[in-house]
Amino acid sequence: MVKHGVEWKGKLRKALVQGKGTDPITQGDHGIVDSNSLLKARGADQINLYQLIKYIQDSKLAYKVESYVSHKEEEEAQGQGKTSTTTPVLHTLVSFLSALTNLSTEGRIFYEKLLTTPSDIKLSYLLLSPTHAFSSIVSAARAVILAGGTMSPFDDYKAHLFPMLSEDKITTLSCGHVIPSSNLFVWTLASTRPGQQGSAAASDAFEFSFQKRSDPAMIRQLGLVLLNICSVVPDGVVVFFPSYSYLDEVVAAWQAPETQNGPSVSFQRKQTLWDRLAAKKTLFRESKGGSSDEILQQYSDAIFSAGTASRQQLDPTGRGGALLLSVVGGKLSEGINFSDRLGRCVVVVGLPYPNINSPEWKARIEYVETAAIARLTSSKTSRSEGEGDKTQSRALTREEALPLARQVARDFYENACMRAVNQSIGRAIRHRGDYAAVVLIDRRFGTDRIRGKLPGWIRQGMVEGSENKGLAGLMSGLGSFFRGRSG
Amino acid sequence: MHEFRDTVLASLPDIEDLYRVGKDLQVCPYYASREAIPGAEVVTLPYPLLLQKSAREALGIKLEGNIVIIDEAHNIMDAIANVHAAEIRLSELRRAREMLGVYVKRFGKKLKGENRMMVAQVGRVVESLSEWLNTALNGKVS
Repeated sequence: MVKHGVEWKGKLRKALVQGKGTDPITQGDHGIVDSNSLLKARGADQINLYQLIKYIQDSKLAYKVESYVSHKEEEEAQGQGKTSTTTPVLHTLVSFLSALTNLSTEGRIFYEKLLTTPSDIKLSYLLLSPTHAFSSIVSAARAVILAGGTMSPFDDYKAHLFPMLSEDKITTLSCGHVIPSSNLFVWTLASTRPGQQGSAAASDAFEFSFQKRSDPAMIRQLGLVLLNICSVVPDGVVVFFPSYSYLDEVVAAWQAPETQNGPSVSFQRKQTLWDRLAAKKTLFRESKGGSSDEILQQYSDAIFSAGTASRQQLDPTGRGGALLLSVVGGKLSEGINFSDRLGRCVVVVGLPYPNINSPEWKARIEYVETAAIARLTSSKTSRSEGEGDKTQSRALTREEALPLARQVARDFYENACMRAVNQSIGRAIRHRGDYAAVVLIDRRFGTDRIRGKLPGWIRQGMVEGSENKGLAGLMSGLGSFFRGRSG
Repeated sequence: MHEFRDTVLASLPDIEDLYRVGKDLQVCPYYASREAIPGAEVVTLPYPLLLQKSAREALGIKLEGNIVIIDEAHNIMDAIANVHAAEIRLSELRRAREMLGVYVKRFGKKLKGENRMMVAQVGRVVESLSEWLNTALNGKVS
């Protein structure tokens, strides 16, 4: 027993020496926890957790305790109908303890104070690296096939799922999309005005970064762009926002009465942007709590009840189809088909980066960076999946490795964002005869870095130079794309 | 059980068919279909059952020599993280401590030496975690 205890401690100590997190980073109401400090009290760090977990499982202690206590409580409550069919609380404990026995370098524990009454606090464990967990599958199976419609960017899978495999053991196969390229129209809208908007200096460029996205003028511009899109695109238009909170913010701004005297609104000043959108399409928006099935049903009904909307949209006063405001990574972005008339145009607003300031993402990025440095500085394998130097064979010094590792971490973060974007875009084209337009609104979609992370079939459908052609270019492009198509 | 297995393996049933076969033969289709796993050539299963070693072992899923196909694999990394994620609240720890107390009060004397020791250790772990969380809740993180 004691021997085991020493082993366990030794492991923790080792992790402590390597790991950061000896000082928990306090950040208001959440932060990272040093796993060692959790079990300091009562000499609990002397306990062999593996053995303890096994004991609880083998002895079925959780059920025994739970059933006895609930029996006892029922007795005391004299049958006041207290039901206790929840998971035994000791099971929750066991899962958490099992997480503690994972390598401390591969995971992080966070604490978060909960805004409940009475106040409560939660510990959560996050596995940072899937490598170890996945390796049991990779090493056992004869072959592992990862299949998916939106697997690019693929480098992440290589780096995080099977870094131990050499390049020649991995085969990638990418097929073109089933649709002919004439069925796809991809446009990057960097700004409403034409011209070189690729630079950050352009003041009226669309950039929905966290710092800039609340700019009222830009939100208004976005509304006008959608209004224009809705007048040419028949049937369904689906817009993906980076988050629920931003969607709420934008809708609130659109619903507020117009205050500006812009030339384009002066003749319709009494109507809000929201009203004007509603005049073009039936509006739907995804909400965090709401039922997605219901919204989807209503949205489909609105589109199909409109009859052949492609005829109606020729009539400028007629309302044709529906507009669905949705969220990337939300309930409607995965597994749902916006095929045919349900999605003739998919609009992606901004780049949905995860919150880099959350403790989880901080820890993840730090982990990826540390792991990359370790890989680059070790002499064994210096294969890097980042920018270039695939041929170099010597180990790098720490100084040389650092910028590369930063790049790897940045790619990891960007890839997470782009996977979500690609998944959302992929909703629109669902079969061979389908056709749809994709409009990416943000100047950053025009950069090579981001563009390189879009799936090949999207890149091929991209209208060249679209990011410099502004709204007028988009409108004429959309116009000719949809002209002559129906149903 | 065997009849269920053979029936199921002889045809290509979907989940509703399994339910019907189970009902006809008066066996639980979930447990009975486990019997059919060794004989099956293609086994489909949800992510969590594939990704956790313990779940694979419990189901008798052997990967050795087999081909694993993961569809919708863009989710795989998140799925792995989710399967291995765990969380616990202070309120749950308090409840666990309370329940252990009740349990030990009643059965403590009846427990054999080793059992008593292990249950005491569970208690210590719970207390230690609670202590940390209590301190953190009151603003000080050690």
